[in-house]
Order: sequence, then structure tokens, then C-alpha cells
Amino acid sequence: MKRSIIGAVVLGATVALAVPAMALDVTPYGTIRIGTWYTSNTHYDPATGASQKDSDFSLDLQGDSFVGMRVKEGDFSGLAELGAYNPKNRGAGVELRMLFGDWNFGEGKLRFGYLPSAYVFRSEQVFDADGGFNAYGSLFDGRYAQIKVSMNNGFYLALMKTSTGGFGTNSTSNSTGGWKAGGVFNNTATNYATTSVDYDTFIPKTVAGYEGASGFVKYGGGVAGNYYKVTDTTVTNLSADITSLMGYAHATIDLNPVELKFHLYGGQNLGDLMSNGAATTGSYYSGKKNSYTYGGFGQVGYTASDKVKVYTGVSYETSKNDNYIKDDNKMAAFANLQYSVTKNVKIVPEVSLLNDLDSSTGAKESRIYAGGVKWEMKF
Amino acid sequence: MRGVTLQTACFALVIFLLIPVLNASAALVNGALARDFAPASGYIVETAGNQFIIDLDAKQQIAVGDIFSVVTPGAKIVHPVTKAVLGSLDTVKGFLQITGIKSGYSYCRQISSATALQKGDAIRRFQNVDAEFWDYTGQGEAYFTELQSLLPHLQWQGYASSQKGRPTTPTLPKGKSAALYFILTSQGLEVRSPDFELIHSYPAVAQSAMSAVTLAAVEESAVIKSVVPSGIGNYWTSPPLKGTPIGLEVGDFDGDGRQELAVAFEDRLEISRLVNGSYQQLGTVHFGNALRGHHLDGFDLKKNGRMQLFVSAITDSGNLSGLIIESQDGTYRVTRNKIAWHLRRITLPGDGAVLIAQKMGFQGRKFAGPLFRVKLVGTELVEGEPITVPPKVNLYDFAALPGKQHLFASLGEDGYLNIVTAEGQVLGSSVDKMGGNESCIEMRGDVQIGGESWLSYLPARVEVNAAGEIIVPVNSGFSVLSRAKMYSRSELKAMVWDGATLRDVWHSTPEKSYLADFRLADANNDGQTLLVTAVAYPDNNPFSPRRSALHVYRLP
Repeated sequence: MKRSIIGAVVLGATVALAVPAMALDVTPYGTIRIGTWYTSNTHYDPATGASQKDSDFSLDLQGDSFVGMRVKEGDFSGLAELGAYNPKNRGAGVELRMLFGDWNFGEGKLRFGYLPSAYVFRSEQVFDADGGFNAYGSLFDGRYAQIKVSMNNGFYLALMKTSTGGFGTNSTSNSTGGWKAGGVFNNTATNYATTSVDYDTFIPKTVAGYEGASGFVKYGGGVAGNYYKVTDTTVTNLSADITSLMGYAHATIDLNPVELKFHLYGGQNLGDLMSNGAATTGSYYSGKKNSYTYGGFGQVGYTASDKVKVYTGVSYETSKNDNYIKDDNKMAAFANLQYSVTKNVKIVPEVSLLNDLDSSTGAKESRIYAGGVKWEMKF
Repeated sequence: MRGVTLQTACFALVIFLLIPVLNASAALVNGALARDFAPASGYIVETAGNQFIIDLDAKQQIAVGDIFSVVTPGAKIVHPVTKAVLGSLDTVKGFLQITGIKSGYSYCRQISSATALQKGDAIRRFQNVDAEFWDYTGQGEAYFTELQSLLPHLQWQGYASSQKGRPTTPTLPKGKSAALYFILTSQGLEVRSPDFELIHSYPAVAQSAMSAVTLAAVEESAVIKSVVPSGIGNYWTSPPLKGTPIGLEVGDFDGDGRQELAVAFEDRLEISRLVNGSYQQLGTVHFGNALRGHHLDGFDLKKNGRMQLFVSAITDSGNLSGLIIESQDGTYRVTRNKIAWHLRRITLPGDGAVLIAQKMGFQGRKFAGPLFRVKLVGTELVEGEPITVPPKVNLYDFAALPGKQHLFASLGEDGYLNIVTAEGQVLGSSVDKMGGNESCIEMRGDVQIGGESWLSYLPARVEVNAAGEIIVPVNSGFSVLSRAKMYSRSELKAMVWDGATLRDVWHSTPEKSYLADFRLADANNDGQTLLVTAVAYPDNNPFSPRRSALHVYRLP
């Protein structure tokens, strides 16, 4: 037995030492980010409309802290990132941030994996864990399984996990309600949930677009669509086919050392397209009516030296629905200074505002003033 | 019977798997020997009681027990036909041995001397030190030959005479002068000092594997051993420069008939000239904020007798934005910017030197589209006809070999140097990894969707000289993380393709530095081709600029 173990160790060592002879290129990397913020929040009592104020200091690990690895062998490459959830969901443990493989087939790349949606375009805002105007004029909606082809000429097509408006869950518990009472039936669902809502999905969420450049203007845009059917057995006549369609465009104008960035989008039922709770409440299909959402942001950046960059930006989003008393509006703004202490360390002081303005019922909604610093270490 | 067959198969499998390990082990032993006995030069800076203080420390990889010869530089040995300086007739005054290493200096004890040693005397590590090879295996003669090639600066006694004087068991012989004892036994190789103290030991390596390792044939005049800061001799080094170089060029930039040197960093270009061994700085041109250079080449595109300097650079937003820097009215200035191409000068068989370019792609593609010639039409740079290169090469990772076979030397992404046909067929590869470059482009394509920027490192320069030798830097050192890549050891290798294999022809003395770029040019205007290198020294202090320098070597 002992001999077998020694033999196994020798063989293992042999193989391990032989590995460098392979052409596999492995590069670990990672980023740790800490946020320290003073925030002043104003809320409004839903019943009375009276304002309530609260100010706090917070120091916490940002949710975009992670360690990762790139691997490459010939025309194939891959990437994996594991990191922390945002403080609001820290109890969920370790998050798989991204996992994908690429095949460079000459005319383009084929990518399988788990990564953000292709329409995401973020600003340099760092408050809210590098929020980047997330849900206030930007479209970041998490990461999803997808198959994406991007051609060398700039066109791309992504087939993604079908969205069910952020409420679909895995069906893993016993059911008493039969198939109708199931949640979204996914690849690993072998039982039915005891929920009363049935989601039926037929085709993948689809994103098609183009990324190009002309001189010092980089631009991109595309369309995205998603379709599912939902039936709620507890609500009379609540059965709907929800179709989401979106158009988006963005541009970065490089006037070195000044940089301008713009992002615009608009479409129908964007909340149902985006799969997660980051979408504005008013952007979901509601009351058997489609909602229409339009938004975007503008940003100006200036590189003052090889160590200092400053950015400022403002965003706005509005959602309309025939059932709403008032449009559901949101806006945000920020200004920050990005100081590179060394090649690997950056600190970013920032002032930010997230303002939810008004809800679809016409009530005032909360706003947050924030001042603080992001501490970032890359390796 | 079945069991025996299985055992035999397993044994054969283990042997098969062990072959690369044995080869790797032999290479590791030879690498360790080359590192432990690498030449290093310095000076006696002070006497301290009965000890001496020298100006070398651990940065030069010296170790306690190392032996230095104290020399009086003698007349130069000049080749009567080529006039090349082959070396010098140094006189050995005595020997020192390291007893302690401090930061910036080290203590030595004197182990022998013919004349009094004094402050200012030049010292050379292991140079002219007698070396005995005692072979207790009876099969080490081939390895002795390897050792001689690997460590040519030692004064080796012949194999036969060393065995004749070898004691029955390894003990210090009486009446011996200063010498190193290399003792080969079945347990491995030991190296002992003149007083028979063990200073290095290396594990046993199978003889067959050891002899399978082909060592570079080191031409004596290519191994530069003497450090002469005044510019006389085989080696010259510049005053310290700040930052990590990303490119080097030598040429007549101002049209005065003399050669100048240009060193590019991420943020600037420094132009200088060597005059009688002294370094004259002629100008510095800053690229501007939000612009980072990643490659430098010179070419007389205007055909005005002056080399224009083409800096490939990228903006913070990720757009290529190259520059042309040239001498005008006695000053160096940016005469053109926002060139949206990667740029490179290359020598093509039949065409000579040409300026070529390649575009950057979309969505994280560093290179895209064909390589094309750059033409000057009026005052505009325009895209010329494409050049024929193997598929999948990029602008920076290849060189064309002379001859009608249309072969290319290409540094593969896996780090090996390949000989490739125009159709992409790989005819041969280097035994070891080569290249290594710290110059990189920050790819920001994934940032907008919530991913991270990443550093994409460029290939090292590959050149083919007039003799058809493929010259490429070999940088090494432990750096796993992509944002902390810092090479700590380097040499320049010249290889030839003989139609079947890639062979080492010569290489420079390994240095404890990163070799950022090199040129073969008449850098000091004396009519001879020199090897000029831009190097950066290891430095992990993130708050101070890295120290770098230009080195100039005389070639055979």
C-alpha cells in the first residue's frame, strides 16, 4: 500500500513537473475593494408621506471584490472569477461572478458561459459598490448563462437564459399543485414548487448588436428581446404573455485627455427583460399593461496626470404605464477623483446622489446623498 | 505473465514520464550553476581592518563564499584584421572571498595576493580562479566538458591532470594554491572553496539526461566580462534612468551623420548620444496625459536622411494613438499624433527595412486585420499594400528570415520561438521559452459591461541580423500575477535555423535585470556594430520609479 502511495506521489510529481512543457498559459488576478461612506438618507412614510432622515457611516467589502484566473491555450481561452456578494446579500456566501470559455475561430469568437448581458454600459460612479448608475440610467442586471458569438467586424449575437421578470426561482421542493403551480422549470428542476405562479418559457432572451469605432469615437448599439408567459392561479384572470423589447446605444468620444460617454436606451417591459430586482419598479409589465421605460446617462472624464483622473456624470430614467398615476422617475449624479497611488492601488473619493424622485402612485420616494472613498487594490 | 507485462508497461510509462523531468532537472542544475558562478565585476571601495569592502551586494546575486580575483586591467587584445577588441591582458593581483553581505556593499577576506591590494582595485567574480574537477563516478568527462563551456571564465585544469591529482576521498590536498574544487560523486556535484569549505552543492542528475542538454556555444568575445564605465573596453553602461523602458532605437535622428539613442518609457522618450564614452542627453519628449506608449521603432519615412521615431501608444480610453517624434530646428518634438495603428519597422527579404502597421480590433481584440505597409502621401500616413505573413502572427511577434523559402521566426503565445512557413506550418521550435516583455496594453473592453480591465503583454522584439541569426531576449523570473509582472533575469540569445533545428549560436552574459529592448547598431559612432540593450532592475518598491539603464556591448 505504502509503495502504491509512493508510486502515486512520484507519478503525480512527474506529471506536475511535466506541465510547464504544455502551452497552457494561466494568469491569476484579482481585485479587492473596500468602500467607506457617509450617507444621508431621506425616506418618506408610505402612509403619511412624512419625511424621515437617517445618516450613517459604513465600511464594508464591496461586492465586486474577487479573485480570478485567465487560462489560454492556442485558440481557446477561459476565465473564472469568484468573489463576494454585496453587503446587502453577504449571507449568500461566495458568488460566482463570471465563468466562460472562448474559442477564437478566426473570423470571430464563440463564447459559452456566465457573464453580464451584452447591453450593459456603465459609468464610473463608485458608490453602491461601483454602481455605475446601475438602475438609475444604466442597465446592469447581473450575470447569466449565455452563448455569444462576436464577429471581428463588430456584430454580435447572444442567446441568454430566459428572463422571468426577476421572480422565477428554481423548482426544487415538493409540490401539491401540479405542473401549473410550478416556478420556472430550469435545467436542474426535478420537482415542482408550491408557489401559485406558473411561468412558461419558450425561447432564450436574445441580444443582437454591433460595436464599432470611427476615428476616436467608439460606439455601439443593438436590440434585445425576451418573452415568457405567466399565470397566477390565485388571482382571477391573471394570465399574461409578457414581451420585452429594448433598443440601446452608447458612445465614448476620446478627446484625449477629455473623454465623453453617453448611453441611451428605451423599450417595453424592461423590468421583465432584465431578470433582477435592480430594474425600476415601474418598468415591469403591470396591470395587464405594458410599461415603457427610457433612460440614459452622460459622463465627462478628464485625465489630469498619469495618476489623477476626474469624472462626473448624471443619469435619468423614466417609466410610463397607462395604469400609473404618475411616471416612475429616477435620477443620479456623481463626481469623483481617481488617484492611482501605485500601479496596483487606487483610491477614489466621490460625492454621489441617488434620487428615486416619484413613484408610479405619485408619492415621493427616497434619496441618498453619499460622500466617501473607494479603496481598490488590483493584482 | 500478465502481471509481468503490466509491470513492464508501468515501468516503461514511468521512465517515459521521467524523461522530461530528468531533462528539466539537468537544465535546472546547469541553470543554478550558471547563476551561482555568473561573472560580476566591481571594485574594492575600502579596507576594514584585515578585511576589504567591495561595492557589490545581493542585488548582483553574490553569495558568501564567492571568490573574486583582484585584477590590474592590462592592454587590450585587438584583432589584427577586424580591429575588434577581444579582451584585455589583465594581471591578477590576488584573490578575495566574500565573508558577509550588506545592503550596498560586502565584506571580503584576502585568501592570497602577490602584491598589496588597495582601494580602487577592480575585482571580477570567479574570473581566473583555478578550478579542479574531481570525478568520483568515472563517467564524468562529458559533464566536465559541459562545465567548461558553461563556466568559461574559470581557469580549468585538464580532466586527466585533475584526476591524476585527485585524492582517494575528497580532502584538501596539501600545498595547493587558490582553487575551486568541483567534486562529482554519485550523490551529486559539490563545489568547495580553496580551504575546502562547501560553498555550493547540486543534486545528482542522470548522466544520459545531463548529456542530452545542449548548452549554448558561448563565443568568448560575446560574453562581456569587464565593466568599464568610462566607455573603454567591451562594455559600457549609462547613468541610471527612471522608469521601465518600453522601447529602444538607435539611428541618426537629427541628420548630422552621427547616431543617437532613443529610449521610450510609457510616458516619454529620452534622446541621447554617446560621445567618447560619456552619455549626453539631448532631449526629452513627454507623450502627454492619458497616453501610454508600448512600442518604439525608427524609420526614415520622409526620406530626408533623418530617422523619425514612431511611438505606438494607447489612450486611457483604449484607442490607439501613436506619435511621430522627430528633430526639427534643433529640438525634438511630436510632429504627428493620433495614429490609430500599431507601428513597427521590419526588415523584409528583398525589400530591406519597411514600416508596417496593424489596426486594433473591437471588443477586446488587441490586433485585427492584415499587416500593411505605411506610406506617406503628401503629409498623410496612408494604408499601403498588405504584406504576406503566416496566419495568426501579429505585428510584433515575428521576423522574416532571409532566403527564398519565405520562412519566419515567430514568438508563439506559449513563449517558444517557432520557425513558420508563410502558410503557418511550424517547422521547428526552440527548446526553451524565449521572449518575455513587460510592455503591455490595458484592455478595457470588458469594463463597460461590468468586467475588469486586464493587461495584455506584447511579444518581445524578434530581429534577424545580417548573418541570418535570430536574436531575441530571454527574460525570466517568478511573476504569477498579471499586474505584478517583473522579470528579474535576462540575456539575449542568437539562434540559427539550420533547416532542421533551431540552435543557439551565442548569448550575452545573463544579468539580474529585465531586458526591455535591444538594437544592433553603431551606437558610439566608431564604425563598429555594437549591441545596445535597455534594461530595468528588479525593484518592488511601488512608490519609487524603477531604475533602468542602457548597456552597450562590443560584439565579435
